[in-house]
Amino acid sequence: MVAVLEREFFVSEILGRKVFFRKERIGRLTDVVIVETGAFPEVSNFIVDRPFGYPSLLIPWSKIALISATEIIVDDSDVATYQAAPPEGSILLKDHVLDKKILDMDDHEVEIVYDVKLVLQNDKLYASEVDFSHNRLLRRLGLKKLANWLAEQNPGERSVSWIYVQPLPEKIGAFTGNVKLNVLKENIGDIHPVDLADILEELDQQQRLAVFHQLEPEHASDTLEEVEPRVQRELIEALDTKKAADLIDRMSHAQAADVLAALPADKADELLHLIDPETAPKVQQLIDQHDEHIGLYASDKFIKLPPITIARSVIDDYRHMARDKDVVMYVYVVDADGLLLGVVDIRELIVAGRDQTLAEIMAENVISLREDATLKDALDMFERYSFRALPILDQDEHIVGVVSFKDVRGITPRLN
Amino acid sequence: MKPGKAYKLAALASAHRAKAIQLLDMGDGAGAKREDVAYLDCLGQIPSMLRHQMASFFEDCLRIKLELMRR
Repeated sequence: MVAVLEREFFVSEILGRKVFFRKERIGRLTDVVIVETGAFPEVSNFIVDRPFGYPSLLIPWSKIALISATEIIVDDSDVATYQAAPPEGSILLKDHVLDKKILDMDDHEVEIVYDVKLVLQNDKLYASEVDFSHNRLLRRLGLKKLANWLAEQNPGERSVSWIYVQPLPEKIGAFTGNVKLNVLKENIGDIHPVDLADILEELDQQQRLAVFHQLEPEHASDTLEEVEPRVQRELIEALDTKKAADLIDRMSHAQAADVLAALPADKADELLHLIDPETAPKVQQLIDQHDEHIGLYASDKFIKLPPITIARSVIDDYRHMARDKDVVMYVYVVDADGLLLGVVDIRELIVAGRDQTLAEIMAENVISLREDATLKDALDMFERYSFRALPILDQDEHIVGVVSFKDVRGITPRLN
Repeated sequence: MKPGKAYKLAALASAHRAKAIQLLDMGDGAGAKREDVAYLDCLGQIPSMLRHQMASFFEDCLRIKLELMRR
């Protein structure tokens, strides 16, 4: 029967503790092995690291006699009996769970496990909760006072019962890249594609692929539609081409076009040849339309000011005004309703009289693009006029965005 | 005429008008006259249907110009 000071404690509190075989010190606790036996995983072994040159020990929980505040006593004296590696498929709390990302289905966000609570019950030790709170991290770093103070300021506990934790993938310890994921509350197959897409976007590349490979084709296809283009590209690049084509084949024409339009043209063409020959031309047509729309390349982060603005105030505030803008080389002059009145090149602004209004110095005959313009229209116009940006106007001449030359330079339109 | 052109003419008109007032204050009657001609020329180019719309913009510009000149 094991003796412990507390019936509940955190795994981080016992890691690093000295381990004695009766009275002989043999090493330090480096990890805790758990096995899934029921609702809560049971601690099966302690892993003890020994001085350099000696193999680690795998000590069964049944041999642990005491866990005190400073040491762990093993009720045995024959060290050689326990020289073994953890069994395949076992979960190591420190190596596989601590500091690893976890998918929190309550918020559909990725959390980080800062600690795992252990509970002693009927002489068995169970992993009962995972803790996401920064307090636990601070405690682990030795900043107990700060952790206590923060806990007082923010009393809400951020932990979740292990009942809701499912290791993923199954062979967690054998997984390449040491990726350890857990899905809370639901099987991954039960997560709505929209939520799963959010989760995938949060993960790093290897973890994202690990989750994506777990999905059934239909679910994978639905999820692929929902993730942002950057992630779509990455997932498709990582998939076998035939599998990627199969996923795209399961989508509607419009959705398939959306996904393919996000890919480099050669990759999209390769996949188009592999999908259903009847649907491929329709998808191609949609990609062309999609690809051509100039709105895809436009930004709404540009400088627009009223015509009465004095040049000196623009020059004085320019650094502040331009800070979060994508297009900074022109100042667009608009009325109170957003009607585009003119444009001032920043170079003209600098040489203008400081007391002149923007209305005085603006070019009122603005070369612009219509909302329904294509990428080709924009490229033609950039070539013809050599502007560095072009405003996009709606049918009432209101400015709705600006396309910058640097954002379309080098892109070859599909329609020619 | 595009609204932008009307705004530009109104702004230029206000600049000429402000300059005319300044020159008159300095005793340069001939210079003030030249600026007033330019001011009227700018106003004259604004189509009548936009002139009313530009009146308040012109007044605002003129006020700001005069304030800046006084500093």
